[in-house]
Amino acid sequence: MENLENIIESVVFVAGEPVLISDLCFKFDVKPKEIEKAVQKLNQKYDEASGIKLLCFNNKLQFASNPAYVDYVSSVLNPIRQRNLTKATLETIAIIAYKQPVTRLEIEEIRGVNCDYAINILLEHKLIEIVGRKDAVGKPALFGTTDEFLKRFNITSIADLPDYNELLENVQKIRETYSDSLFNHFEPTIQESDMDKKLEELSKQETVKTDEEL
Amino acid sequence: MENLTNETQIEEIKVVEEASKSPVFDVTKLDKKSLEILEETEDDEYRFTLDQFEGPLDLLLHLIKTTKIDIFEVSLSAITEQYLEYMKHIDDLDMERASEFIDMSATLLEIKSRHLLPTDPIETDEEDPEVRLKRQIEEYRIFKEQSEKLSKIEDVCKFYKAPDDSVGEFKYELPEKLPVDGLIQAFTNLMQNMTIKAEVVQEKKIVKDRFTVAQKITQIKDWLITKDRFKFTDMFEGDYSRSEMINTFLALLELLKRQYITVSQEGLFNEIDIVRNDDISSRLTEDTIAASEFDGDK
Repeated sequence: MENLENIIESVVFVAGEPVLISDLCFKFDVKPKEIEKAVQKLNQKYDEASGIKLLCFNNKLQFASNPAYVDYVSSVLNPIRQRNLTKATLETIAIIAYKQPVTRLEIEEIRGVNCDYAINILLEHKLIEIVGRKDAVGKPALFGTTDEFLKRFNITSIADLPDYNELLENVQKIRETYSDSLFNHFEPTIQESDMDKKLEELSKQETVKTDEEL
Repeated sequence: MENLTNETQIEEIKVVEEASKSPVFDVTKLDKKSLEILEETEDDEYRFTLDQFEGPLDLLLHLIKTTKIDIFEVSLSAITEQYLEYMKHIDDLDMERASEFIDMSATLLEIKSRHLLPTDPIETDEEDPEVRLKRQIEEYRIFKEQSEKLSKIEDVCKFYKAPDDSVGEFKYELPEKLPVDGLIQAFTNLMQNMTIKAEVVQEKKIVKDRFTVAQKITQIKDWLITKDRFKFTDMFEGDYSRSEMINTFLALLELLKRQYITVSQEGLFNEIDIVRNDDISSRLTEDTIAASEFDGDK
């Protein structure tokens, strides 16, 4: 499709709100890869110095003003600026982001403190939302992050979080080495090599038998 | 709170005495060393207050960092003393946050007291609270550090454009040229699929019961006129079905309830003897049991 990037540019501009890439694919009858290419071209156009940036998150596109010029924008227009998150809310959202979906109790277990306030703040800012209910006593709410979170932290998806896989592995390691330490020292009484030998012997015996039978 | 710290201080002294006699001596060495570090920081540097910690885990993490020893090497009982030092200022906190810190000091003291007692090698079912706490601290450390990384990439300086007033929702529309033929074709396809499905449904046959309880009651009553005693199996001919047996048995129970008969059985699965009650011979002919109660299928 010709001029795809320019068409996308127009659509995203008029939409204001995030536009689903899948919707664009459906309407223009193009493959996601073509959209991806077009977005790359657009990103070259809206480079570091540009006043507008094209955000791509969770397979959605949206225009935003360049954060570098925030002070100038504010001096003229006085838009509502959100404050940076506090330490407590940052810790809470870090746990939710990496471990989602996660219950309030699981968050509190990690932080060792009551998290009601932090969770309420995050819900209010629409950085997290209730994504389901855990199949446990009391059906506790499960929290997950929102598109708003991805936008705020400049990431395209959850897997794009800094050190995502590494962190999950580390957490897993801690849980394994310290929760089942009793079983880690367990050694099977029969060595594997012995087992193999026994199996070989058995199979030999069998073949002998069948020969006799014949 | 003061009581608690006083008691623990007494306990501390005991610990030192105990430790000097036992191989745990290294721990106390470390204890003093880390205390010195803490004192240094107290004198020279900015002193942290409880309020600056996110919670007891945060404080423990800070204390472990000051010892400059790896978390899995460090002895938590060595840290306990310093932790309790901070607890002196617990009154600055509100009740809810204070309770979290107090809860942790109880855990720490439990760990410490366990160290003083000889360990029972058999008792390994329960997870060592020290191991559990360390795991918790380590996991907390990972997320705390990650949250610091996140704070660096957090960006609240972006603004967005509200959608144009004339903009609506995403548009779903039918193809421009939708011929009537196509519509009919689609409809017939749909109907065909439905008939195919309907054919797939198999008929189930439910066989009507040949025997009813009411019928059996009359049959037994007829028997009772001529005989005053017979066996359960006598009531069946060579080929009887399960449903016949069940209905006969139910009829028997009904007659038993109305005291026409008495039954006896010598053992489990043995033959059932049926005996006619003497005083009913007159009733048998005139009294028609409300057979209609049972002929549900008539």
